[in-house]
Amino acid sequence: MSQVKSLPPAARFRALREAVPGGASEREEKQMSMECENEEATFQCYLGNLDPVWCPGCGDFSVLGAFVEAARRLGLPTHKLALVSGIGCSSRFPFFTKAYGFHGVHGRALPIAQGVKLSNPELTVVVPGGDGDGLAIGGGHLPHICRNNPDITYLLFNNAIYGLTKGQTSPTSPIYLSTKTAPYGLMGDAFNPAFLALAYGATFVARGAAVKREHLSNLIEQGIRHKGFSFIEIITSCSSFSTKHVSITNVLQRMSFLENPPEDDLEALRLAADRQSIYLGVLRDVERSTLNEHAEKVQRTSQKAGAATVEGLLRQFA
Amino acid sequence: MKQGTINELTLRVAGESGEGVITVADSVCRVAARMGLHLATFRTFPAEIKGGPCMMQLRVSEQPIFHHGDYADVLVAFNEEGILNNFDSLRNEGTLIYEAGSDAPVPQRKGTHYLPIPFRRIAVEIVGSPGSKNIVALGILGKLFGLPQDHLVKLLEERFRRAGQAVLDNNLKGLHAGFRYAEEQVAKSQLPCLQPTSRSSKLLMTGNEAAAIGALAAGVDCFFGYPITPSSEIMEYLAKNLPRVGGRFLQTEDEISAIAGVCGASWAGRRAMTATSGPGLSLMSEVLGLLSMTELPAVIVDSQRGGPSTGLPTKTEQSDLLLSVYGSHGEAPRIVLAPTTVRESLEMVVLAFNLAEKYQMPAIVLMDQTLSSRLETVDADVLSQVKILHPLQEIGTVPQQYRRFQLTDSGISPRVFPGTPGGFEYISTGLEHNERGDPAYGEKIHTIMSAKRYKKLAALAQDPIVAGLASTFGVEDAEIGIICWGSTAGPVREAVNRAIKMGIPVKAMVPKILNPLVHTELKPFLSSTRKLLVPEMNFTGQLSTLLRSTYLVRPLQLNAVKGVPFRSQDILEKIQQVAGRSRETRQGSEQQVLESLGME
Repeated sequence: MSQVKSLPPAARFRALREAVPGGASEREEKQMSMECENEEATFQCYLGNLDPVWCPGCGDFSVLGAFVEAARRLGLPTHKLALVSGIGCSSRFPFFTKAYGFHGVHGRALPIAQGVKLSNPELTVVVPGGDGDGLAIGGGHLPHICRNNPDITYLLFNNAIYGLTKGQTSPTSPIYLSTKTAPYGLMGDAFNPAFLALAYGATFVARGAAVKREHLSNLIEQGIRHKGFSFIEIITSCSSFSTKHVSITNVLQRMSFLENPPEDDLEALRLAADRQSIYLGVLRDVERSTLNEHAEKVQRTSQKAGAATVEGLLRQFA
Repeated sequence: MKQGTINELTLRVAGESGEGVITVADSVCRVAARMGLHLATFRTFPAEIKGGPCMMQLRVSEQPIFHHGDYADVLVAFNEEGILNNFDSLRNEGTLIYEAGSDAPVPQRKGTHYLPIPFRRIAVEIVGSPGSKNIVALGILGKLFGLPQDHLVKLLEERFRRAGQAVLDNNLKGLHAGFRYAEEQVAKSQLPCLQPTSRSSKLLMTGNEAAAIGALAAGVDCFFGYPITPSSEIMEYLAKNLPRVGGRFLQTEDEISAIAGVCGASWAGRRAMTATSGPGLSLMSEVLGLLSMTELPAVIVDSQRGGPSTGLPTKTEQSDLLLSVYGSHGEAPRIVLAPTTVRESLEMVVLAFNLAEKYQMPAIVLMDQTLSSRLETVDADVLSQVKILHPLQEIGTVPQQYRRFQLTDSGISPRVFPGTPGGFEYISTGLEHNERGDPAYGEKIHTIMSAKRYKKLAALAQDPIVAGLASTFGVEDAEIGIICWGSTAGPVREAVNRAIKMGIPVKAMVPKILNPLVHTELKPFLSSTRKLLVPEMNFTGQLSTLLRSTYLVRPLQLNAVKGVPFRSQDILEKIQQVAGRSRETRQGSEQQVLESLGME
């Protein structure tokens, strides 16, 4: 394993995946029959067919690792895992994991995931996506998802830039950043994703960082365990379009860990908005009726006098 | 004097919104349906939220009817505006019933009967409130048209029981006052009388209600939607009733989220749908492409209204056909169905679910405002004709060999739903992909997969499920042939019947599947037609465009974008015109197209 550690990230994942005794062909068979449903599940069970296509030095590798570690610890069965994403570098995530995956259109991952969860509550639904996907083109959906509270875990990879389209402004780009679409300076202040999610009323809000993988893994594990919508802002970096200084340096210099979620909403908002320290940890963890619980309640209420049949409903038109 | 009997009546009721216009017309409809008669209605809605002119027309007949009628036999107008706005829709020999004693000028016309009735005075004297004048009118109309009194009383009991005994009593008082007034004061011979039939009573529902019932009959599991006129009643009905049959309903923040929810639920293996109108369909078009690409079923009902943009939100039009067939970037196959009646709205939604499921692509059901809001009688056994295919999941292969987008003869690949254990995990992506679902952009693969997706449409066109869906009528060997779609079929059928009676041979075909076009039904019709007439409620001739480009024919167009449906008279006049120019040159046809587009 120490050899593996010295490899570049993509190769490291490949090496890990193929580390199953017997080589690739046996690996395939082994993976197919492997039941990753208990604490014994290995890291490899959760790796998909394809190698990550991210650039060397990309923070997304670390997030993938943190997620897989969380899934392993939770013993999530891969066939019950649904990964739904939109468009962007981080949205390629489902290709590199073993799960049922849906890679849709830009900005619509959350409402698609909501449809998945509402229709099949048995699935563990996780949405990986970027700051552009979730806060620019898809920004209109986030408040409503927070309000509906479907039992979905949202991993918002915040690298403050559009990476896949090669270096344009994102809604979280800091004001001092020069980008290809803002060569003379940015307009407007950056969104603070965790702050927004708190304001929108998400029932679980956390902030982690790609450079703190173990801590992040714990957050993701808590997020998946949480009953309701879990919003996890992950500060990560783009190695190709120079946001390293924005995220990694910033985080390493200013991070501060929260032991427990703040007592009340105002305190949570204050910590999330703090401009001196970057607080990492759980900012809110409360329980509220989930989308599926509400749907079940609606069914019970509507069926108080007994379930209806189509034939019965048709007779009302007589 | 013996009262004349008829087997058909067209009644129009008009007034200010809030005067109870709809209550009167709707009550006549309910009773007629219970008498076993056929009926169809047409109503307009004011754009205002409260107030504004309001009208409902209904046509009742012993025979099946396909149209609400061009001109009313009887016009009941509660106010001056009601008379002025609707007098032209009253046939020459018709009867105008209006509020007696008002100062409003009444247009005079030779041949028309005038029947002033003091609705308001009777309501005040007998019930003590002018608000009951519509119930007084209902009593009078009931007596004049021979609607059974017990039916009317029962209807009011059903309608007002919940409001309390006092309210019900007042309404019954008003109804009986109407009966008495008609008995004592109106010469019955002036008006025709409807005869009950021996047939069993019929169901009465709107197109929107029928579409919602169709969805329930098809076993819809999840509905996602955003309110929009004129389709909202579909989502309202399902909000109330889908949970009652164990389904799930979600009002989303916009139409994009609605179709995205449908996409997610469909991927998870559940039957899902949405209902919208033009502006919503525009917003949905990106995810429609995603559904085509990821080969997922979905049902979208589009109740068309006047466009573009916000257009005429409460008026009718048939202008979303090309959007439905092509609307998405890239080339994204989908199924487009067009019901022509309320009953078909139910049946086509079921068919949409079945076809979408089998061919793994979205299916759009094109209704319009006329059809959505039209009340129509439907036979009580409508569900017995409905066939439902159940969700198809094929786990025939061993997981190691499973390919979600496997190339097959029909183009249809085996579907495995997420949650299925055993090692089937795969990814669905909007990126071009190989058979396994992994992204692939090679030179060959995009061609192969595009062909695969379109192959399914070709297979669908030959599926026995869709054979014989088009309706044809008229004189089989006529030179003049009409092709129309959706709610325009009603006036066309009447126009064809009238033309034949006038000695003009004409035939018509109404395809119910507009994408893919079913060549086996259209080709023989087109090749046996010398003059093709295509009437549509749009400006450019959208079905004409499809027919021209697919079959290289030159349709004569009849286009109207007035926000109201065709009268059969409009179509009849066009048929006469076409028949009169039987030696017309090709140049002449082009001239007509330009004329119909207002470009000449």
